[in-house]
Amino acid sequence: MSSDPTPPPTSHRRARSGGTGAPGRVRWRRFAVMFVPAAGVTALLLGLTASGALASSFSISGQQFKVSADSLSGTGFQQFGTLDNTTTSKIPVAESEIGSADLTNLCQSVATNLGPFGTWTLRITAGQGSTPVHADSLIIDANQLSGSTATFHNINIGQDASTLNAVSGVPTGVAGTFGQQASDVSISNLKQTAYSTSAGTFTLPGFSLSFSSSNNECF
Amino acid sequence: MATNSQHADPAGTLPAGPAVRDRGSGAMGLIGASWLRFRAWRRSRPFWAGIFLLVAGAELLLIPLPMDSIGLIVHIGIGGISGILIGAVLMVAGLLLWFHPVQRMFYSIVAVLLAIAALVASNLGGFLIGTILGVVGGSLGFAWTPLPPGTAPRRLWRRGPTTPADTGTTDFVSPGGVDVTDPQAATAGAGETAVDASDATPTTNTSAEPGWGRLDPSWGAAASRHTRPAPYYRTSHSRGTVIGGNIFAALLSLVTFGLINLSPTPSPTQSADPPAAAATPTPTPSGSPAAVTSPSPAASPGSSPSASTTSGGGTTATAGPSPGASPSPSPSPTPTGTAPPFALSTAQSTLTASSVSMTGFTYDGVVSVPTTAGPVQMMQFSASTLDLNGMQLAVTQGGATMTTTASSLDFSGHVVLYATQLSGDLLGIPLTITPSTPLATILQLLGQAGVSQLLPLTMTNVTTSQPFTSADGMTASALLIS
Repeated sequence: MSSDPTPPPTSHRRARSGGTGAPGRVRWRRFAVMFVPAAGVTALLLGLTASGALASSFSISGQQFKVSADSLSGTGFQQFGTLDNTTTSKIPVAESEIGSADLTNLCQSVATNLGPFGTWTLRITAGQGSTPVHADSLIIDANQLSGSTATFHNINIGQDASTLNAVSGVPTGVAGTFGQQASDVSISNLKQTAYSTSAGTFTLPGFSLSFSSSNNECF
Repeated sequence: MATNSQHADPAGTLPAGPAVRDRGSGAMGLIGASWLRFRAWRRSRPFWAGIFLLVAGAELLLIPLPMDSIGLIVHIGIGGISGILIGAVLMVAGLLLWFHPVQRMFYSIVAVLLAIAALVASNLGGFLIGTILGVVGGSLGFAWTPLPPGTAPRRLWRRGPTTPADTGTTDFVSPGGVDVTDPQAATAGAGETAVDASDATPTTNTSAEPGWGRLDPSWGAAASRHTRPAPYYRTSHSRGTVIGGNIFAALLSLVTFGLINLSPTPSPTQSADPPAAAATPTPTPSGSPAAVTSPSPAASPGSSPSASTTSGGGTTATAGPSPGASPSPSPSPTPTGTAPPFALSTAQSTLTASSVSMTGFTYDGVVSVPTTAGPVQMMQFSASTLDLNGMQLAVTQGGATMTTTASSLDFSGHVVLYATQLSGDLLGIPLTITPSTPLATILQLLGQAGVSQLLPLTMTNVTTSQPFTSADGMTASALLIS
């Protein structure tokens, strides 16, 4: 191949390469037979997600991201300290677990430095309208969490993290560590810098997802 | 070169061999030969479909599972597990498209369905990227079709001498050409194969017909290709069927299980279920005694170990001040105090506040409170309201300190505070009380007399060690945990 110095006439060859010289090839009409309905179903599912009718499941870990919401009100809250692994180190985080949460004006963003391609930000927003974002079994490991006001009911602060029982079906902390729990929680102007999150079901009414080639984080 | 000519010329009898060999014996013969071999390998299977599926699977897999922290799988719950499983199956499907292309229809359809399912099951399909790549890859695999036997080798021989530069470049073109020449290539290619198929066997002629009708015969053609001698499949075929097929089936059943389990209350412990749950139905009572006894105890603790411990604590979130449920292991040394019904943290923690205002404040005496390290003597205080200003709570555990600060932190309703030490300025007098100080006894006497309940108390520069607080309600302003 490399002993042939003459550059190939590509246009001529490209026309033939689809059907000649190869033991197999892609038949594009058949591709469309599979791709078009699949794309249609994908679009339908995205539409249902955006309308809040379909819940998604989320699980992210190992990278710093930011979450903000104008308000969070949840039933069943517990929190304890733990360590999160990232690609570079172990980071102390407060693991917050909420059994059922409604969030208004949710924003979630991840900024990734892609070296020569610059910094890209993935940003998801949802729940701006009258219907809030709803999440079940929400778990967020945040190394920073703030709220302008936070109200809890039936709160215990200083309970052994392994005995927390305000939220069922989520992991609890290591025995002896510091935990707190409450029967319900509401936080306004929530801001979190998190390293991992997971939610069994997450409805995202009015969601939009954007990639931008700059730092466009939620806060 | 010998192996290369086998790959490039499946029939082995056509005069393509010499032509290829002439080209490969140049200055860069070795590289050329391996490139030719790779090209032949690549062209004889849905190569780009495999690439797309591998990238899609890796993307879906790595969002919930960073490379260096497999241990996190315990934390991430069913959402992460389904993401990992879907990603793994997409990658396996991509590999199987390469090494076992005979079953490409099955792998491709499964890949497309899973890529769509990932939209719901895993981070919006890896933020759409994984779903799009998976659907494109699966569709490419679905649309890939081997040329009828006889056409490919003849073409190679026919084109070899006339366009010698061919071999090195068509490869680079064909991936691009796959995208660019979309409709033209389809029609032109179909036309060509139809012409060539005129001197080929009748069965291949039907599969080469353009249009929608092509779909159905090719399913049959894929099956009949098993029986035809197809050397570029045969070597990889047997390996792929045995190993890949089994892995694929196992992963697929795991994914199915994971998707079924996408219930509103996911628990990471459910991930341990599939083997146990799958094991239970199979052994019948007529089996060996070991098989009968082992599955049922193995399945029941595996199904809900965490759920039982958490819910076993009983009394849910309102358990805080309720003394009725108190399973306190040792009797309280004082009659007024009541130990909390659960273990308190033993982490080193300190609560400080610039000022604390209390109403209905009483000292309830020293209580033996349960911790996981055994009972600890703590002082118990009660109040109807407890307002902290400029508070900071520092908790040190595992070598790391997390700090909670708030400009104000107001507890109300059945406020109970346990601490191993309390110090601060009360009416300008610095006080430090511990369970062993005589002051504590005095305070208790005062409390029993109801003195402190009559007037609101304010302490300044308060420091509390090992605090535990419970209350009916709490409101924090400018809360910051970091």
